[in-house]
Amino acid sequence: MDDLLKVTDIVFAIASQLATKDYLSFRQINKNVYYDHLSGTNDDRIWASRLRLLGLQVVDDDKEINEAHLDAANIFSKVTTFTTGSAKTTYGLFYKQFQCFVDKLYHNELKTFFPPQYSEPLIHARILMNLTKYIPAEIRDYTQYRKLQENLGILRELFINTVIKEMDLSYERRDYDSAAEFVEVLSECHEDNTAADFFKSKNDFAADVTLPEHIFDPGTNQLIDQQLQTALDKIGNFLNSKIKLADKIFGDSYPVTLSYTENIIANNITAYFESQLTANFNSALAVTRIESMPFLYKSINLSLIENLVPSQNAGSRFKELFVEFFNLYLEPKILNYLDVSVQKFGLDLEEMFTKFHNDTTLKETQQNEQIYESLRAKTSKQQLIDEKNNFLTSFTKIFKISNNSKAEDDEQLQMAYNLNVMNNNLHNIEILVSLDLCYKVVQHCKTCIENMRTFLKIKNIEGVVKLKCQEAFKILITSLSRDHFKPGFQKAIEVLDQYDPNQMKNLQIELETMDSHVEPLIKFTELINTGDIVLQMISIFYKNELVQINIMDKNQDFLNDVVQVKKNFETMIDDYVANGLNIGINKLMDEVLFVFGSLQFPDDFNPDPKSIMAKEIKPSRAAIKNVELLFNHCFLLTGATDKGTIDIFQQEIGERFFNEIVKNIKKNLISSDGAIFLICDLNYYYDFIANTLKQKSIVPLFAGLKTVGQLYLVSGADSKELGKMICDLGRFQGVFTQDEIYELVQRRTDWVKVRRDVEKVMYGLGVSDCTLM
Amino acid sequence: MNNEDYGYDYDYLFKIVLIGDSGVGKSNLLSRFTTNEFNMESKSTIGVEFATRTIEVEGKKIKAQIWDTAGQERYRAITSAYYRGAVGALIVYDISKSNSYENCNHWLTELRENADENVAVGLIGNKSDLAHLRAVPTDEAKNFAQENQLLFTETSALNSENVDQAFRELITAIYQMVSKHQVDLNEYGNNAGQAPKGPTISLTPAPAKKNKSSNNCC
Repeated sequence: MDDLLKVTDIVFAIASQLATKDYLSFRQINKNVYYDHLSGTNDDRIWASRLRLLGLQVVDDDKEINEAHLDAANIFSKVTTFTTGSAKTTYGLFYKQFQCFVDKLYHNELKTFFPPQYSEPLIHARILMNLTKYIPAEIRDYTQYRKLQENLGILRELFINTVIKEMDLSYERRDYDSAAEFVEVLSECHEDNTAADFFKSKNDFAADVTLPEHIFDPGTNQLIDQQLQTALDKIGNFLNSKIKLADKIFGDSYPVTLSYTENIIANNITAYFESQLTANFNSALAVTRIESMPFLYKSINLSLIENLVPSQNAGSRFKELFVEFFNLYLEPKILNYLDVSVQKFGLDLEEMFTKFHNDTTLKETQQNEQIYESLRAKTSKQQLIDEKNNFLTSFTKIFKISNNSKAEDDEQLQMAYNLNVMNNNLHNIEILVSLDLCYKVVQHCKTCIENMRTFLKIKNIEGVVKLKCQEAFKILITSLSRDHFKPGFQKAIEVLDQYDPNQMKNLQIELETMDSHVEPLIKFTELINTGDIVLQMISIFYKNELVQINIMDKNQDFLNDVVQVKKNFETMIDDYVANGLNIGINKLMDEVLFVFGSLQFPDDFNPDPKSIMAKEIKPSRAAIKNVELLFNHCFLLTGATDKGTIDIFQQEIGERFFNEIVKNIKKNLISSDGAIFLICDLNYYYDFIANTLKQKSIVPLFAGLKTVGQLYLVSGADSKELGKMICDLGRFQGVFTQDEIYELVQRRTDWVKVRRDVEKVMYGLGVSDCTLM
Repeated sequence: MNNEDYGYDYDYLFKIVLIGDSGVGKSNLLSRFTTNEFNMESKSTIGVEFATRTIEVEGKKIKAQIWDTAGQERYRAITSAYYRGAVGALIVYDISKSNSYENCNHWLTELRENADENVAVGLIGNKSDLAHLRAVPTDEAKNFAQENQLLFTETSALNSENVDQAFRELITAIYQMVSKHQVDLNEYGNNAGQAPKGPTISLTPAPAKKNKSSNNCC
């Protein structure tokens, strides 16, 4: 045994495993052990290892420690380092402070545990916490260590219970300063949760606040503003008082407000509104409570969140976090709202269009002899364009309205006025398509999207909100297209198609008073105009409500089905317009033909020579009537659609009219004296095309006609020169072939007489004889 | 009895032709006279255009039916049709274009060949507003007119200068000729309403005239 103690390593190993008291005794077992093995460096190493267990660190140079300022509560914060060689002294400092407590713990002397100089509960707490650090250094005496730990645990529990009891007393006395002190004590003991739980248990929402039983009118499902306000005020007041209280008690030491408010949002506020939204659900009512969601949400933001006081405890981001919690807990209801809202929008449109359809059907049967007044008769084209522009301008402004409600009122008023003016002008077609109704559904869609946009700022559901807004827009267009425009256009085209001017005119006795309108065509062009207005409304709407507010990504326009739906609508209208105009032109030409058939008299171009000098040179009644007819229809589209369509429309009418004129010439006989009257008609037509219609591409046709008129002016005595003229195709602007000219010249009254000479010139001579003059 | 009761608002109807080279301003002279309009960008006349204006001469309402012809028409058959029945003609040239003046001789010849021998003719030097570009001296044209027994006026359709006067002078001249002619006809015991013999019927009393005449007879 003695031999073993001669080996330094063994002695040191044993010493390392000993408790402090035992080590000190072991060291003194004999001189050899003391001097040879456990002095100097080795001794220092032993103490240093203990200090390391206490969490201290070795440094090269340590500052002087004034032992008088040390106590059991502060030693761990004052002595954090030691130098090589001073380990024993340093450990002695700790030993001196804590050994008395260790002894008491070991002997269960808990009643007089803290000496009188330590009176503050906070100091007690720190000593207890320090003891938990100190005791592990004595782990070598494991039995003792276990007992110490056990007793310290009991003591700590007792202590915390006492603190809570004291805190409770202070809290009940409303002595929040003392309560705050006890919170600090608990915090020192790492018992912040206990403090927070205490706070929560003392500030139960349900116990303190009685919210209104109904914020919805059970009879109508309408939100009762005042009740909602009361509820929000109560919630707000409660929260604010608790935020302040938490700040007072907890300061910024331990975050209790955030979890406390989250709890209230989750368990009280959300639950309250959820039950309000679902309670007394009456499916028979048209209005569902969930529809009030945007208003409810806005009110919560405005009356509750905006009025929250700042919280020191929760920090500067408190409101932001509060809103996040709120959004999170309300999310299911919001998503539900979005679904319901879009669904309901679709149903509303369906209902509106069905109602319109039923109303107009009824109206139609009541007034089966409806006479439509011409749009053109009532107002000049320019006026119509101006009114249309006014209408669209104010429509645009509606979307740009600031928060200034006065301006909004004014704009709404202006809008209503302009809409009314437009409606009056377009009343002819209200039975087919109602601009008023279109405006209403667009407005409805706007409201729907605006309401849904309330939730756009909630990051979590931003994508859903955007999709729902797009869906509403798609429903708008699909519905407008399928339920309103399609039937309207179909009906208009059907009416147009069935229109027979002959049948209509036969009923009239006096042709002179004959109406120069193809009524269904006028109606149809009004429909085009309405279609154009609605398309423009949709475009403005799309730009302002979807693109500008980033509900649609402009750059992905072509990929998006919303754009596709919009395009389909435009294409559909374009197709109907093209189809209808085509039929309309046919009808117009029927009318032209009818006029030629009924008003172009045989003696118009072949007058009695006796009366010739008394006959004034002016356009025939048929010519005047037909130009009037064309005039009344050619400009119907002005302002109603794009210039390209208008040009095609006018050119088509011009070309077809030209053909009718040629046919009309071929139907009549023209004398040399009567030629001037034909020329006068042809001049009149030319003037209309060149100076009124101003469609350059068809002017040559009518210039050619003017030259054709001269074929009849030439005296029969000049039959040979007549033959030359027929060969001279350049004269006719290249509009006619020689065969056509030949056919036309046969309408001369003296054809039989001149024929021989003409044909001799035409066929009897070589081409070289037909000189271009 | 008022003439209007018979549906005619005039006592005489005179056919007058406007001839002259292309571009001398015939159409604008006509529009200035009949509707007091001027079109800076008027295009070449295609075929023939008509316009009328009624003026009063010596208490008679005279309706001038003016044929505005295309200056470049080269088919004699057509020009001769234009002249058929004309009782007056205005040969127009452009004072800034000597060519157009020189061609007046040709126009006069054509007119004499085709129209009634009594046709009243006026020579018009148009575009007098272009004085700084003048190429035809007034005196020269005046002399030419005197030699050929033509009325002569320089006009500007652009600023209206002398336009009315030129037409009025011509119409008055025609009227005077007609009244004289009528007296002659009456001396032969013919009814004024009946056309004189031959294809050169140049003077056309309005039907209202007939009534007056028959009233006179009674």
